[in-house]
Amino acid sequence: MNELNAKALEDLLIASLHVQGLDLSHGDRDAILASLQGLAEAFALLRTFALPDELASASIFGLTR
Amino acid sequence: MDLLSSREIARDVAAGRRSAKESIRSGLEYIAKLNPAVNAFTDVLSERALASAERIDRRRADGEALGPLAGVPFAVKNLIDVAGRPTRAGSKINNDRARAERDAALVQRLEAADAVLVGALNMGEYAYDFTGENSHYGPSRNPHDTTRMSGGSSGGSAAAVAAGMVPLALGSDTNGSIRVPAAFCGVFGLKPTFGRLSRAGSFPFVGSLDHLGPFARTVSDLAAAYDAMQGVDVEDPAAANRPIEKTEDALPLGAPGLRMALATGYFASGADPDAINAAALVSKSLGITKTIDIPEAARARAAAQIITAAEGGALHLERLRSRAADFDPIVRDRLLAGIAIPAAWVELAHRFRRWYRDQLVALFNTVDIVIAPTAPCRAPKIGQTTLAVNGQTAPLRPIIGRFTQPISFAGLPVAAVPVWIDDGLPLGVQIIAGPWREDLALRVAFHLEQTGVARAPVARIK
Repeated sequence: MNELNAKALEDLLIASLHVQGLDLSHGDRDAILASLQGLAEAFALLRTFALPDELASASIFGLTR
Repeated sequence: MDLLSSREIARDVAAGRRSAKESIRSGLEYIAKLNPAVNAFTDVLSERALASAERIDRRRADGEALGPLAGVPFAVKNLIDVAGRPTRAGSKINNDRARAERDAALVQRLEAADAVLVGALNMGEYAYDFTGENSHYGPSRNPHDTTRMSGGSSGGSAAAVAAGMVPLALGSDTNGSIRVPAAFCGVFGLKPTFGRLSRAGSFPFVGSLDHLGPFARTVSDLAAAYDAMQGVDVEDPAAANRPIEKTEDALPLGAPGLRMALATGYFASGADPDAINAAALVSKSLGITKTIDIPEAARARAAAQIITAAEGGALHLERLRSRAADFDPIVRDRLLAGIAIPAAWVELAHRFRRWYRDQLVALFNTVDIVIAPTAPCRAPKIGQTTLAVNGQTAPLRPIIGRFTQPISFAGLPVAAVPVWIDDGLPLGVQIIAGPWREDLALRVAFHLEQTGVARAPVARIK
């Protein structure tokens, strides 16, 4: 995670918490950011996979039928 | 204390060789003796259990036929509703919620088979956990070595069964929370197909990934409990409209004739070599020569992590606002990260899930069973935070779910079997089947048990 992305994630976190009635004082800043970074890395892995545009989301109700 | 299986207890009670009350009383005494060392139970329901047992004995005396689990004591992870009790879900916060008005659907079904609920079990807070540690109630401890983790989040469930405190317990599995503690504690577990068993009356974690299922020390007990819990339930919107497909009678068919393969690639790396060797040992004992690559397992795990964080965070938003200080900090901070992520990430994860599920359904048109490791290591020490794999040190908690998350993400049924490759602690192996084929996974687990490859001895508490 480079410095720019780390800053972007922290900005995202602060803004997102704020609009949902929360702030960093509700938890441990470094731990939340570390967790968010892990999720960003998961998304980075996922976004490089080409899914057809026509593929709709799974409905949990039809997942294994 | 004679540590009988569920089937042995039920046969004895039905035949009048012992009363249900005797069975339950001796079980309660054993729980009282061992729980200080194992910390598996958060609630022991002595009065209710003895009253239930007396009713079963009266019915037998009146000539009524008893159910298949007559007089069998069982306990449930404390996210499962028990009438009149707080559904803790491993938290401090939930103790302030209204007490459950009635038992969860699966408790009702087991009691309809004349099993007897004796208590509720410790777990990781809100099920966001692979360790069995809990800052409010203390860790559930591994009965084979009480300095080590039980695994989580259904840690109390696996520990109670491994210790012999109950022959049967229920847990939940979102990303591995039945299979991991089954592996660490050396017991059998079943994570059914997503939608197979009703979750009505359980406190959720991730609605689109949550499953409930049983733990036991024998495969017959696992199948008997699973059979008793099947059935449609309109109160769980994800419960499938499937007929009851019983499994116990077919167990002796075993593994012969099934098309089986050992998972390779992703499932043969990133772990303690012993964990991978355990799966290879099982594969060899079954005569498997075919290997198979489950496509995009790493991305499946990544997508599962995103959905878990987002759904879990959204579920707890109000509690995070009002009672952040009352959460276990390790759980709280991951939930706070989850509520911060963009919706597009979550939607992409769900779309990927659809693609991935289709791939795995197609894969199971070519094989009946896939073998894979359960956890990437033996039970770590309580308090351990890192794990060395291939000379690299990694944070422990996330890596524990490496092999279980990609399987539950597709909703596939898995029998988790305990394997002992040396004098050390047990390892776990997943017996994975196609959707709705729990019967095949249990048949292979039974075959492994009968041939001595998988076993779940009662722990000797030191």
